[in-house]
Amino acid sequence: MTIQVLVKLAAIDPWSFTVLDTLKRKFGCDEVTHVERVKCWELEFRPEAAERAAGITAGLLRDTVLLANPNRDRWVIRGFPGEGVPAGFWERSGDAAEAYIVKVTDKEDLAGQSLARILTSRLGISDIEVVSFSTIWVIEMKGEGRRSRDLAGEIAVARAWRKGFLANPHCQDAEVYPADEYFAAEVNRA
Amino acid sequence: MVRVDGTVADIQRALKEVGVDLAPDEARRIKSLIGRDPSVTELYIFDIMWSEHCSYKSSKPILQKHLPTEGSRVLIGPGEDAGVVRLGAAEGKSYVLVVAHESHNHPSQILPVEGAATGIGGIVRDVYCMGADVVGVMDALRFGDPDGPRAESVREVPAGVVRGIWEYGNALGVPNVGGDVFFDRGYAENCLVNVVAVGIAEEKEIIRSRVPQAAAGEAYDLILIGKPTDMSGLGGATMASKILDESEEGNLGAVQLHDPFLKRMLAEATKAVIADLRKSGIDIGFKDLGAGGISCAVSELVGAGGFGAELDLDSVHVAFDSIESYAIACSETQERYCLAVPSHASGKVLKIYNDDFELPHIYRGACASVIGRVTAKRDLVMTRAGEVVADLPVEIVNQGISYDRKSEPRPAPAGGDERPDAGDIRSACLSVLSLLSVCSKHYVYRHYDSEVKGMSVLKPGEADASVISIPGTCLGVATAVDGNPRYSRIDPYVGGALAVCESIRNIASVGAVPVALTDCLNFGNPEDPHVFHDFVETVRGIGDAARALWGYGTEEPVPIVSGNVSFYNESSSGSAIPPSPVVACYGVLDDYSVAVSVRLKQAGSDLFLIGKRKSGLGGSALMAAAGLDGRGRLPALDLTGERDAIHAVTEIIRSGHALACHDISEGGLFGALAEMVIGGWGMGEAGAEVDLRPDPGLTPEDMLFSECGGFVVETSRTSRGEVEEILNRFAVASEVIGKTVSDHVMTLKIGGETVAGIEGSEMREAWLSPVEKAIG
Amino acid sequence: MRPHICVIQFPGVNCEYETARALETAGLDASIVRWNAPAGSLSDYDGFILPGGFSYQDRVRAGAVAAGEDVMGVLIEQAALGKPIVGICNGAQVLVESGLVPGIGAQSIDLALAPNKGMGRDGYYANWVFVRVASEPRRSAITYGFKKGDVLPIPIAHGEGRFTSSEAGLFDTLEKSGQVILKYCTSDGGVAAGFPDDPNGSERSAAAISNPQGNVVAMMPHPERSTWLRQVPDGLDSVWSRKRTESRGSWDDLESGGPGAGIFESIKTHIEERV
Repeated sequence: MTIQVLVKLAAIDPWSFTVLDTLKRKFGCDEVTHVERVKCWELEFRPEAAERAAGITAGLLRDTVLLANPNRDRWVIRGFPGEGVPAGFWERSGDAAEAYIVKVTDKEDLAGQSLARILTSRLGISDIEVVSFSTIWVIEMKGEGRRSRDLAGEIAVARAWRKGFLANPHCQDAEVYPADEYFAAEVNRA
Repeated sequence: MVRVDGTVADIQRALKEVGVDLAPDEARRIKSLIGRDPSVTELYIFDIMWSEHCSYKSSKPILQKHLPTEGSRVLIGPGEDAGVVRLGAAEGKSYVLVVAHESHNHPSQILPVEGAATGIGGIVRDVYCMGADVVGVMDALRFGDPDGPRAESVREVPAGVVRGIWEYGNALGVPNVGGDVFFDRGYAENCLVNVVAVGIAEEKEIIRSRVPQAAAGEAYDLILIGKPTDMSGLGGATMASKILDESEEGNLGAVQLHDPFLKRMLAEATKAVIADLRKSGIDIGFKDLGAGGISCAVSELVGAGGFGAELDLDSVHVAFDSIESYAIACSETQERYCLAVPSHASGKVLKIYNDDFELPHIYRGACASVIGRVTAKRDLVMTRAGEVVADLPVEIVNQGISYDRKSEPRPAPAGGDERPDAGDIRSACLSVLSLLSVCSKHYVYRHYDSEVKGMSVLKPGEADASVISIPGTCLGVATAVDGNPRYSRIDPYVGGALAVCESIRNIASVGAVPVALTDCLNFGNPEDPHVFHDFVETVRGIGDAARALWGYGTEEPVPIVSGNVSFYNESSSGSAIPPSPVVACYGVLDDYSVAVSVRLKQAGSDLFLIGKRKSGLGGSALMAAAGLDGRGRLPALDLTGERDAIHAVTEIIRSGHALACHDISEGGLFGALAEMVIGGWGMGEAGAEVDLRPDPGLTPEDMLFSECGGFVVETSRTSRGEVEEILNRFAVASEVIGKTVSDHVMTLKIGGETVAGIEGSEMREAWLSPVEKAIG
Repeated sequence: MRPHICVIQFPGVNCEYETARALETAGLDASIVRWNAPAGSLSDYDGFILPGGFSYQDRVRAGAVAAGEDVMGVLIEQAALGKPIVGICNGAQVLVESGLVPGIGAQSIDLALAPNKGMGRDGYYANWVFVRVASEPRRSAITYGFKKGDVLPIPIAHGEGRFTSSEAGLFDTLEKSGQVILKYCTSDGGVAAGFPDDPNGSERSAAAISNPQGNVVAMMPHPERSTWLRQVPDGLDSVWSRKRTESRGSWDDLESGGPGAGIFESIKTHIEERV
């Protein structure tokens, strides 16, 4: 089973501002109204460790700053039946009609591998098989329907000069989802 | 207005209600100074200006009494953002060195990445605002024992701190020119992150942190540049002076996100602004915003020029509209500067920042705005929505307060000349080499960019000091930072003095002459008389050493031109750090081409030992490796002997006779020899064969491991006569103790008898790998 | 007349000043020009350098934001004229993210400079390495002064320097067409078998890659940090290190050309021969 920890800054994020400013001014994406960055850790537990997963994850967040630091970040833990993103962590802004997320993961996920190594070698946690790290960009747009969906897809992958932005397909994978759907969906779908 | 009336408890309640940390007595004092009840904004201003961090209320009298701060090279000593000393003239220009030194300890313990990063951010601002370009930063880091209790939380701190330093420094484009890393159980709950910034400018380019006299004759505006003011770090200065309690909610605001990108853009835009104003012959005042934010920066800027200011808080660019007046006045939002310029030039200044360099697109809400004007009346007046929220005489704001703290020696430690059991010298050698505080720090400094700006001559790790050159000239600048808590734990006076000696020795080892020192003094709670006594003794030791070790070719003390005191380095559980002076030394080379690294250069050279070996293993790496840290007797301090040895080595290197040089500090004579064989970057090829003359007063351990100062110098056999002549001239105890050999092996003998023979590769492995194993 | 090079100052770069000095030392004129300068003001320059640093603090991806700037549109036109355009470190990342390198399709992005791997930790790595000139001297704007097989000690300093591509066969094509200009190697020019000789796990140990014409080059090492002999550390297994050690005491020798000076001199020759 997978436990997902979504982390965002408890302060203004300069990175999101740069992405918004670049999309609007350099890529001509006037429809984009708001950008937010969320770090996403996914801890894949061994099936037999499913019952310990909640406790281990909570322990990591309580005792270490490996996933998030309470002095800087806010987070939600997902992966249990019925869980969604609680109100307040992310809500679509009033002026946006649509919101998509672009989830970018390095093909060589060094951040994930590095955390996995620390968990096993230093902390002696053997219940987690794989750790992966992604950056989730939440893109809010004023346009509606198909055009928004296409735009999110175009922004997601850099293919040529000024065509695409958030992931370089030669070293990163990008997934695009409607934001409401993604945050409402269960992490461990059957 | 806040009512300051009634009992202590009444006042306490009133102060608590508005959220300031002032003591009731201090509030009463404010009331009597201004003759009325203070406003909330005014209370916040005093809260910060009277914090330990801003007012040095505990330390100032001691520092003034003991530290030499003047000298013929000093242009600006302690008191402004950074110290300024003359380096020398070259190619028709007179160059100055601008140096600042601070701590960022508490924030780095709470948020290691952001704390260490903003530590660099703060210190470089102090140098930029004097009109200098920052050409180097150094970090002195003190962490807990990664193998001790709470190992996991202890290890997270160095990993985060190193990341913060590289993320900020590398992006800003300021080379790392050295630093040191120490691991000691005393820092398990309170890491130390001391930061040094080094700048270079032409003498005529120096800008003062004061409104120029021209403002008496024409209207001057005050322009705020940089990030929009937010709540972050509110009360940050007070925060930095409070005992650390990790559960405290108030910590949330104490640390902010680092933004080297905005900082770099501000530096470039400011360069353009200053060049433009200078071309028009316009006088300006410039200051960075640190703790205390707008109120502190503006009151110091106008106060130093004999003026006052009227600020319209509504014209300050803010992160959100509902921000309170006291927060606008006092927030320590990062990446901001304040500039005083004639009103007629304001439009041009705003255009450069806002249009040419597009600040509003660099950071959300960042820009330059006119926030007020300079007044002849010496008051600091702030208005919001047409109402006066603060109206204080500038002099009262700036004068600070001072406390006489009680000082009481600690009970004398038991035990005398304690030593480890005499054992195998060879294994002692290897355990000393792999001690975390002795071994190579390459794992750390390979994260840092030490070559940006293209000025490097000797890089971190290659020599005892880093050397950079001023492009197009022969002038070199050497930098080093030192401080060993093991000495201070046994005797804070000697610890302070040795921090100065070691930093000057490091500078001398590359052939440079010291021109200035800065210090950062890290201690526990000054209200504890024992802690305060440690502090006083340390300062006394620093002062005595700085006076005794005058620079080569002069007879004046090496001046201490800037520095910082960091108290309250203890956690709520009561564990305090050992006395931790950190001293940085800056040296000049008239011709950098003579500078040498520690690596042995060839076979067949002489190895000179300079300085007397002494008895006493206290404070040594050998004792620490044996688990006896804090015990034993320190070798006798001899400042005159230190000075003579330093001057002799300087002369040997300047006259071109040295091939390699290393000072003797941690690990003693053995440590120095071993690192010369291994090479600073682990690329040594030549070996050493050393035979020490037996001395009835010294054990083999004293000879090899006592940390009693001195140098090892490699010189060509053909120059032996000239080197001996120099050593005689300076009347320094010295002898040729051996030679370099082509096999990469170190052989140590005493009276002809071999006590240890170690392969270079074995030493290299022991020395290169421990830090990565500990914190990687 | 000395060729005039434009050093583009993107927000957040930080090697522009020493790069300009290195160009001047090599006999070129250099001007540092802000990224938002009017497009028309750029066409008079004989060549362009995108210097190292952290444009936009590497937000999103190193070089990705700067690659979208208007000035890159101008450089795409100038590149087509055959003028040399050299990106150093962050500048290389900008060239790759804008598709100018390898420049095969119409500005299609065919490469990435991905995070370093193979060093046993993540993050930034700064050290001296060796690179070998892997193509014929006249194949690229930066190699006119070298011989194929020459070995240079040179510093690197980056967190994202691993040339890689998901396009099958791309590196075969690049090698065949001589677009892999510099390769990480051992001190004697041998194949770099892994860290630290190969510092970042780059495909084919590539340290510099050009467009098909060779006038646009993306290089990760820093030639402006090895332009003067004093910058070379002592102790490397290299004739340059020994020369540096022997030059102790001679300022003139220490200020003479280091291994990286030839890169800038090559740009000068390239411009002069083209005209």
